[in-house]
Amino acid sequence: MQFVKDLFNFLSSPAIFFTLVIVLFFVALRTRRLWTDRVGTVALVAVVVYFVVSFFDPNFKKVVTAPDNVPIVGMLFLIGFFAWFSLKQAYENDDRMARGEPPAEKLETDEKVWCWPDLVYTELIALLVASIVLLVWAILIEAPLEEPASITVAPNPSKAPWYFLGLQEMLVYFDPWLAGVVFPSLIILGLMALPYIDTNPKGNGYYTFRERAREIALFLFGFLVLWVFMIMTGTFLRGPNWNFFGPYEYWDPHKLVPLNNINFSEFIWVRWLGTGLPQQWLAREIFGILVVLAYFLALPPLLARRWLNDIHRKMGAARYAVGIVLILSMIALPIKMYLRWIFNLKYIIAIPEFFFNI
Amino acid sequence: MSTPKKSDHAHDIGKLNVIFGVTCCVLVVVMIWMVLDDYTREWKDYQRQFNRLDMEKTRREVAQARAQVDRRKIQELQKQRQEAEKRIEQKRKDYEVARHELAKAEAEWYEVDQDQRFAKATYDSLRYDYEVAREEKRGSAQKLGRELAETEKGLADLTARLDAATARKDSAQARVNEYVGQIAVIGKEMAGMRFQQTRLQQKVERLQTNPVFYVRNAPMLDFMNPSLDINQYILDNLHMDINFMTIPRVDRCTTCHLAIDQKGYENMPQPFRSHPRLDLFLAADSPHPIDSVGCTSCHLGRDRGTTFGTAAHTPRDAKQEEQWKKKYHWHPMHRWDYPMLTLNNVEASCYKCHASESYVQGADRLNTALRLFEQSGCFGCHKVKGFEELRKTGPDLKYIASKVDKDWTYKWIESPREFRHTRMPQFFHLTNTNTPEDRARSQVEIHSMVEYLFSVSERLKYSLLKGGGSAPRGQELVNTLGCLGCHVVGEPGDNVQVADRRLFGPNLAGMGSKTTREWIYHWIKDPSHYFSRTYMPRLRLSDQEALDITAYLASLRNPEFEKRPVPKIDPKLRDDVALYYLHQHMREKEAREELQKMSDGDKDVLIGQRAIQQYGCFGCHDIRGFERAQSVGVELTEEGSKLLDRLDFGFARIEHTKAAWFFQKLKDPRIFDVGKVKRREEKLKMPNFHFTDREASHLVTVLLSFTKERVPAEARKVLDAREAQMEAGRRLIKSRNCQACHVLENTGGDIFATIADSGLRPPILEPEGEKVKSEWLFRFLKEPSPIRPWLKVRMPTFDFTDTELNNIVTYFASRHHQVFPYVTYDYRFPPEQVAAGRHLFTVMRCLNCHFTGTVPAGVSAEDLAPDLTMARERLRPDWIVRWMEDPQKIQPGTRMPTYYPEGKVADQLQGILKGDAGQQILAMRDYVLTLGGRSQSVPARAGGH
Repeated sequence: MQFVKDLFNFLSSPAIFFTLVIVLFFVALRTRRLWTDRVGTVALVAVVVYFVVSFFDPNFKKVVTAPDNVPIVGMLFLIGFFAWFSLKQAYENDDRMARGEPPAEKLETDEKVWCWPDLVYTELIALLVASIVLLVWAILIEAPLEEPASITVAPNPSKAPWYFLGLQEMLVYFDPWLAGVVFPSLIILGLMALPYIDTNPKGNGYYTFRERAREIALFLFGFLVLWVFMIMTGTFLRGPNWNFFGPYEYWDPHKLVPLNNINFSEFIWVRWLGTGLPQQWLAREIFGILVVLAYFLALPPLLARRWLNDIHRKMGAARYAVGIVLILSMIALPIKMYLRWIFNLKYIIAIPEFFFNI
Repeated sequence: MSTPKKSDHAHDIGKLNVIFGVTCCVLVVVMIWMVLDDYTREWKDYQRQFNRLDMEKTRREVAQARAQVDRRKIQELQKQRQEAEKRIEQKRKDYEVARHELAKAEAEWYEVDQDQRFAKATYDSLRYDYEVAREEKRGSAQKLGRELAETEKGLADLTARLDAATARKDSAQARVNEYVGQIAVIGKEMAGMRFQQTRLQQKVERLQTNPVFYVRNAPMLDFMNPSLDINQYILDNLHMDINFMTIPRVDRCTTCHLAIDQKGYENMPQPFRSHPRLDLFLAADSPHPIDSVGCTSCHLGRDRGTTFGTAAHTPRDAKQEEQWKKKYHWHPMHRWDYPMLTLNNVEASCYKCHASESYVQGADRLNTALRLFEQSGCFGCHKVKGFEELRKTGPDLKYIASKVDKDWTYKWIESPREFRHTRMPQFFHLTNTNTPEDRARSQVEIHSMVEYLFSVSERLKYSLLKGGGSAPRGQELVNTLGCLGCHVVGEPGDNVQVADRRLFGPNLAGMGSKTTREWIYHWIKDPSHYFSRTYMPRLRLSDQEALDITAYLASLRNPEFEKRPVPKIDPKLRDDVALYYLHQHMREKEAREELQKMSDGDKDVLIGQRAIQQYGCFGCHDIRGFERAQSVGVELTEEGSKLLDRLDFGFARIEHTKAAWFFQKLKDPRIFDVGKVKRREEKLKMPNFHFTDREASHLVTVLLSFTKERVPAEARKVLDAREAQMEAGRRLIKSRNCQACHVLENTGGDIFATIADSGLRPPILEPEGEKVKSEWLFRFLKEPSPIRPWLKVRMPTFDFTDTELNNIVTYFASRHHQVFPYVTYDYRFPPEQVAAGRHLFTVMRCLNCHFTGTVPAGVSAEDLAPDLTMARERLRPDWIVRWMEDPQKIQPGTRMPTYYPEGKVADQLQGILKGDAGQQILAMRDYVLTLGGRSQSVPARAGGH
């Protein structure tokens, strides 16, 4: 048993778990057979069984049943269900359309449905059910109040509200102004810009995967892997001192993990060129600045010319430019994560003189 | 609204209706559940249960009260009332007329009274208008003035009518009373007799659960005027620090502890029991009334909690914890930093208000614990506010080389307890330094520490003793002179309490193995020559006595300890250690070069000095070279408020509470290093004091008493003028261990355990201030001389300074409400009164026990009483009178007979001074005061009695 637990603990160390999730995500997205009732049921049962069995482990139980974490567990199930449900419908529609039939949504009703009772009545019922759930929840689980706030004593781990745990996880890899200001703004702006960038009219009013495979993959990657998965990590796997803990590991505040990270400039000057760091910040950071500029300025035209030719043509220069900067910003997160895990890279550009770090 | 046809819909409306219906029902059920869940409170059950118990109790009391009422008297009164009623019945008609008259008079009076009051109101308002108009010189002033005069006339008229009406009403009432007055008087008398019963009966009615009770306390209605309600005391003076602000404590404990501040509930089950010390706490007339002190200021816990769990109750032990888990689903309060103190630690809370006192009356455990804290010298390494001025606990090591040798010192430092019971802790070979490598290194350090101490020590020249002494005689002297007040010989037995005053001085076991005869002799003759700030007093020993005691102490040996070898030091290892210390301040190469230059002695001095610095030996001992060293331990001033997560439990499997951590730390200070990989300098350094469990648990109380809670000045104990005068003396008495021999403030006399004959014990000093003259006490303390020469125990000479002497004398005078320093003693010696006194003196045979000048032979110590020739110098005359009146009142159990029980004069004394007790006592006082003579002074004899 301990062996299995150790294995799970090992697999949930950040680099391995993250890689596994990315691989699984893309493989699963392209595997038609997974998105059926049977596989869905099996997956649900498997997850439930996993939780139930793991409950016997005191450390697992303590973290999962903490009043703060109960909604995250619920969220995992809900998101899993809706992701599976939409993809199932999308694939079924794809099959139908491959056979020359209209999508299932077309058969359900005609053009028009009634506001009352079709919409409002179901909404009312949903409202009642939500009230019941909230009331029962409030009765059964007391508000997780903490000790009085103090300037001198920070709670350990000090965690953001659950919906910001993805951001907090980003703070491990990026400077606060990037992870706390730039990226959240980009996420909001990007979501607002989405309808103007993605003008593909396919999939309006019905589920489909094949007709929008790249858009769906990209969005789900950002949402499921970079947001939900990070929230889950932050909730269940980050313990005292924001250290990483396996699901069956005791949250020991005395656990120590080496954090010896070095900057890109140190790699270049000290490790590779074998000299000390230049005094002047521009000289010191010039390579990092070039790399970042290349990433955002040279990579998009290169991609447009080589691999994303068709997309570039379809979208036009303006849409392509906005879209590709957003996508590159998004991809920058996993890139930075891997650089940290593999090379202990701290910052690509580090100019503490101006509080500017990337 | 027209319902669309079924076929138009995306959903089956019938099915939706059913779902809607079901969810509505579920919602209603959940709402009811919510209301009930909110309504159901633990404390309501307690209040209901208490109501029931209280009602049963009150019913029993009603029955008792009823039984106590004089039934015959009641019956008689009832009969009288019946007779009175019968009389009225006989004159029914007249009575009816009178009542009719009264009703009429009352109606009339009512009308006139109302008119009069209305007129008065109009008059007042007019008067105001008139005043304003006149002041502002308005035209209307004159008119208003006339109106006012008229109204005044009308008012006077009405007042006269009212007087008349009142008179008529009163006379009508008087006529009616002629008939019924007697009945009213009887009724009043009966009510008076049944007062207690009625009061209790009313209480029963109040406690009864009638329909009104259920309505008042029904769910949703109970917001108006519930009888089940949360009780709370808001304590404006006692604040809780919630980091960004302080808030008053709001103690809701009485919500369930309903009778905690009332007498008479001592036998109720918890939580309804009365506080066991209502004389000290909670009661309105106690020093700590509940509405200003509350509960959590002493007990801690969560003041606003109204359930067993959220009040942060703390179980006293594992067994109770199990019980509570079963009974109350108890678990430690989630994230509450200050859970309730267990009962054995609750006295810790006294300290935050009573820190200004040298001891807290009634807090015996805390006093003992603080004494242990001082005796153990904890403050030497750990800074604690309020303990900065205390003398270091251990002896001055300035002349150590004159007292002991290097081998003994080595073995002593290595493991003091192998030599004898001591407060000197063990620093080496402990839990985290017990490997062979650690031991070898420790041995180098100890060796070097000894070398260092001897290198800075001065040597005193002691001449060889002339002649020997007798050890048995010496032992006899040690046992009887009073040495055992501060010293124990050998392992302290079970009868020695925690922080016993007899552990004040070092244990005398093994003295012969430790030091030389010469040193002992000179030390006991005059301790201050060796250690100028020692608390050891002089006993004014004669040379022979000193020789005898020396012989005895030198015969106390510890052969096993003497036999233990002192290990040879490996020079290579010493070099390593020296290098290690040098390396801390210089680069390795320089350190090696430096080491090359050093001699063995230099290395020892270096290592010894650094080791002493590291272990903080100077916290308890004065050591040359460490005069300005900073204390090495963590500051403890706010240790009791330290948050739990600031304590490193390491891998120790103990309960995660502050008290458990402190206890474990005291029992084995290095335990939290177990399982950790640490370098030598990282290891915990606190030495092991080998505290017993009881001692450790007492010290836990002390640590919990040092909190960061700042009680505002008005809530703290403020010493009044008298107490402030006593305080300096009290501190001296504590620091010089006076209570080891004398009972003072009802504590002390620890030495009594070693003196079987109660007549040979040191005197109880309870009424001392009232009894002796301040100037005599001053002289006595400076140069003690025997008062009870038959006592073998000897009052030592403490060599107090004048300031100290004055402090002590002030203490005694203030303690017993005497004037200090100048007093008029008003007494005369009329010769006839002195003569009468002498006569009485003979008749009463005072000299059976007392004596004048020389101690009578053949009288047992128990039956001896002080020399009366000293009375004039020593005693306060008015005290002699009080003493003669009733000695038992002043000193219960004294052997002085009571000659005038309750002021009565015995038959054989009736003839003297007209048989007046007061006169006789005065006469005897006057006689006694002539005994010494004015010129007589107490000879100061050095060296024995």
